[in-house]
Amino acid sequence: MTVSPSPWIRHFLAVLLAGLILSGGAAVSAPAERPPAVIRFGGPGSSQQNQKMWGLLEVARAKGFLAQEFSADHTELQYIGFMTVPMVGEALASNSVDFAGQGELIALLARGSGTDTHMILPISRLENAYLVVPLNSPIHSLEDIRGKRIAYMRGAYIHIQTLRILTDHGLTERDIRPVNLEPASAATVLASGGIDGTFVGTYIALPMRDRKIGTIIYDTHSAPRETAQTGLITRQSFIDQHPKTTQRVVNALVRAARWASDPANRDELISLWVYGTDRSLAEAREDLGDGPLLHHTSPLIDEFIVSQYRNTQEHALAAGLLRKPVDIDHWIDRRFLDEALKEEQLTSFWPALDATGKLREAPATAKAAP
Amino acid sequence: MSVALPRPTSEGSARSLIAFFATLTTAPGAPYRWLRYMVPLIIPVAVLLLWGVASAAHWLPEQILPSPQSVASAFHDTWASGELPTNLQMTLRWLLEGYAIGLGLGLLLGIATGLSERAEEYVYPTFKAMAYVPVLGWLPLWLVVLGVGDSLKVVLVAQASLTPVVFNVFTGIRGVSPALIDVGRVLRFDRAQLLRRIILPAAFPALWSGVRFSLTKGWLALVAIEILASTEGLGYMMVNARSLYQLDVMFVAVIGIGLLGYGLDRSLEAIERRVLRWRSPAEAIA
Repeated sequence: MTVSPSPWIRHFLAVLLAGLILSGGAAVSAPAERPPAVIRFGGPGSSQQNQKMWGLLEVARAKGFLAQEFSADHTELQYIGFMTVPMVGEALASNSVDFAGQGELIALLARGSGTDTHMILPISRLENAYLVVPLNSPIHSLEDIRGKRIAYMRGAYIHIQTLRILTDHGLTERDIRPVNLEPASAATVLASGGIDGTFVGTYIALPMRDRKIGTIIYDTHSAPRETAQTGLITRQSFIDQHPKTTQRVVNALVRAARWASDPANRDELISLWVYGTDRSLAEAREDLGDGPLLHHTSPLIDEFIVSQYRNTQEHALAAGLLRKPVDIDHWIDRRFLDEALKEEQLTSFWPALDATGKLREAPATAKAAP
Repeated sequence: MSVALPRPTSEGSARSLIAFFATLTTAPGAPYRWLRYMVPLIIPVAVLLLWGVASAAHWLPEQILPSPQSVASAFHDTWASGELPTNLQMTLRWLLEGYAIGLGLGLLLGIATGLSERAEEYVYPTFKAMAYVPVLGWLPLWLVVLGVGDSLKVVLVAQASLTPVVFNVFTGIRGVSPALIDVGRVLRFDRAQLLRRIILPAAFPALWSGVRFSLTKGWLALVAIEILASTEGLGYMMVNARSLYQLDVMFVAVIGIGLLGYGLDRSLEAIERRVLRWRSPAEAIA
């Protein structure tokens, strides 16, 4: 299924190209490829700051790694926060953004619906899910939720995390009574006893516990395979037209990842992730734990990342969320990351995780890493 | 056929063309009277054509605007798999149950406040204040009280459809001409007769527009609630399909919602025609 650009887009690109050639005429040693006048990044926005991005993309934006990379090119960098998650995929499909941060499920759904995208590097890893039950609930462990009314938002990333958690505990969606609720309503209904529990992300679960609405009886801290990841997605057409620019964007993100992986920057990293959101520093610190953030900030497309996408696909197909499978090996495009790691001399900086989320190296060598 | 057809005048102005069309289609015994029934289809057919052209020419990416063919096949698939009938059935059930309750209560409240000034003083101000809170404003409260089951949807539909009925019945009854009521008194009608023979028939047009409008209100409220707190129904099907980027399925739900709403409104219109048979045409128009 090919989507040819509509005539006006072609026209627009032609005008853009002409403009670029004219304006670049003065430069004698012009580089092989000039970046576009505007590079647009998109993702689900925050309610307080609509330029807020997510994970490493936010680090690259807030710490100026992207701005620095393109400072000499007169290229405008736009960061567009969208109201809802589906809007991000619609923006990619309608050519309104060039790069987008998308969770595993939504990225595969967008690819599956025919948008010609590629995943070029992960920008956020190991996002936790929690199971919150009412205070004084008879549910004390995950196995107790059999037959109970459990809320989560269907079709969202938490849905896949829920399926993973259920599978790991020998359950399926049929063993519980699923209730489709957005997280804010889930909190209300949990408080009134309308549901027996809810699977939610960190920034819903921790406030619910702190406001004594519920108790957390399960989280994914010790089960990396049950966590969620976010990837940087771009369209094939953008890669084709601007391979160098794509490379430079990835280079800047790898530098951002290197900065974020430095233990000395830990506090600044967490506060820049929290700044301009509804989250609190304390919640973020608690969720990230005391250990090194190296695995959270790694940009590697390691076995773990690939197997998480495969696992998402399996669940999404089985649950009828995804209608036809995506060729994941083709969809994940490693070229830019591999090149960036070489250029930045960081090929062996981040330890790779195996498919289960454990370190591939022996634990002794892992300790040597920062 | 003995109707003499006027020829279009030589000026060929738009007005004479329209007049010509009108003579062809509206005059009693006009040969192309059936054409009139096609008029409401002009816009849908035009939209359908535009849609077909837009998707064939790729004005918008397929992920944003699916082709009519893919929507048709999604319609077939969701019908065959039972997804569409199940959601349709749930939506219709919630709507009709909620609407029946809202309508019943609304008629009672409207008649009571319309007839009795004391009832008006007690109930009307509170009711009016409550009516200005959008139905979705009640959702958090009802979620706490009712949970997320069937009763939540039924109660919210009932609440949304209640308001227009009460307002319209109230104003309808208050608007009944005192002269008509005097006639009733002269005829020595008791209260029940007065209500049945004079007040309700006279207030009927206002009452009925409340009945129809409240169906629309209940319907819109239901779709909104399904979007927020449901795993079934056409509204849920619509948002869920959107978040899964299954835009063809979303269009099936959208079209289903539109058709169902239209169908319900037409049913009420048919009932109205039946009820108003006794009125003279001149009165019905007035």
